[in-house]
Amino acid sequence: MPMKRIFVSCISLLLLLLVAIPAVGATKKRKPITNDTIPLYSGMFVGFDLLRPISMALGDTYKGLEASYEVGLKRRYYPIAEIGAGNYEYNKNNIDFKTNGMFGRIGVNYNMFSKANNDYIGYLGIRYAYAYQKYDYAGIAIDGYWDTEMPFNHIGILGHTHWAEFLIGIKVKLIHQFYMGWTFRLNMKIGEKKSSYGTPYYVPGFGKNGDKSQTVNFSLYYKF
Amino acid sequence: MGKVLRRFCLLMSIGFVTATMLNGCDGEGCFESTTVGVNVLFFDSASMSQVAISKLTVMAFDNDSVLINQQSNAKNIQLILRPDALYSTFILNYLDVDIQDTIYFKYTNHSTVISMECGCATFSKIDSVAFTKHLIKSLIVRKNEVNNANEENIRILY
Repeated sequence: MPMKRIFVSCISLLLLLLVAIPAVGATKKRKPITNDTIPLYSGMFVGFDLLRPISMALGDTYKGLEASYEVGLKRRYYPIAEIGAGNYEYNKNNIDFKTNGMFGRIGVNYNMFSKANNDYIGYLGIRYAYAYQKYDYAGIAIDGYWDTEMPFNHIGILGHTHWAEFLIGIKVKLIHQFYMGWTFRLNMKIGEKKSSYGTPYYVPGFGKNGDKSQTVNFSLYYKF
Repeated sequence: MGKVLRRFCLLMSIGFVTATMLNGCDGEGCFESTTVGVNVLFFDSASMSQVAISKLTVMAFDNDSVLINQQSNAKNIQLILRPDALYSTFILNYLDVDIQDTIYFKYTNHSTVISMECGCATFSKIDSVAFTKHLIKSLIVRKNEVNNANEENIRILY
């Protein structure tokens, strides 16, 4: 599983960077600010997606959680790591689909309002994302010419999907250190592991499988 | 508190408008091919160019239904393997010369979900092919994976 190892390495490296950058920012803060009044380290956000729990409560068959961790640099660049997990069930045309899996994303947001009011962050962003999942397919294959019905039950098929995301979002300060915001993502699939039993109908983090998809997050953030 | 409420309402408005726009872009429907069978092409053994059989009927053993009924100028046909068996036999009846050839396939099957919209099908892997040589001179297995890709599987030379 070289892809999985590369992904784990990338995540580890990014987390290391995210931990190290605030420390660098803290030391720089003590130095006298000359021309640039915006410090290198401009806060750290931890966010939790609220849309999944809300849609779960409303009866959606996708059950999942998603969290993000990002560090502000000069209030303009926000390197970010996101992680999530979910499971999903669906039935159509006498086919049952079930999946559970996890996903991660790394990337950066660019704040378009870096010189404006600190209470608003409007951003464009890019991500590299990867999902690992197990999925089941069960149903009946019907052949019209031979008049046969072949039941099947494929359990525990492994799925690996990676994709790029282009996104736009907004964060608004609500009260104290709490922010809330939307992220709208256009996901473009880069590659996936092909199974002879069929590709997964749904990929956690990506949504309904295809060459591209759109996903939305509505998140609550705490700024440190 | 009024500021917080104003900002929250702004956020909700942005989310509602954008989500409504995105919702309209979601496509549903079956876009993949659901036809699965052994794709057979007819060739002339001397010139190695594709030929047409003037009138052809194809039937399978153990099935009363005619698979191909008196097809004129047939350059290619599709043979549907029996999904609940490991072998299938087809009779090619050349009506204009009243000669028959028989082709026997040995294969393995597995059920595949093409997509939730299109449904599922049985894909096969051809292990071996046997045939009579009444009119057929030779037979080449070009691709032994039988799926919905609509690629050439068998080339029959006359």
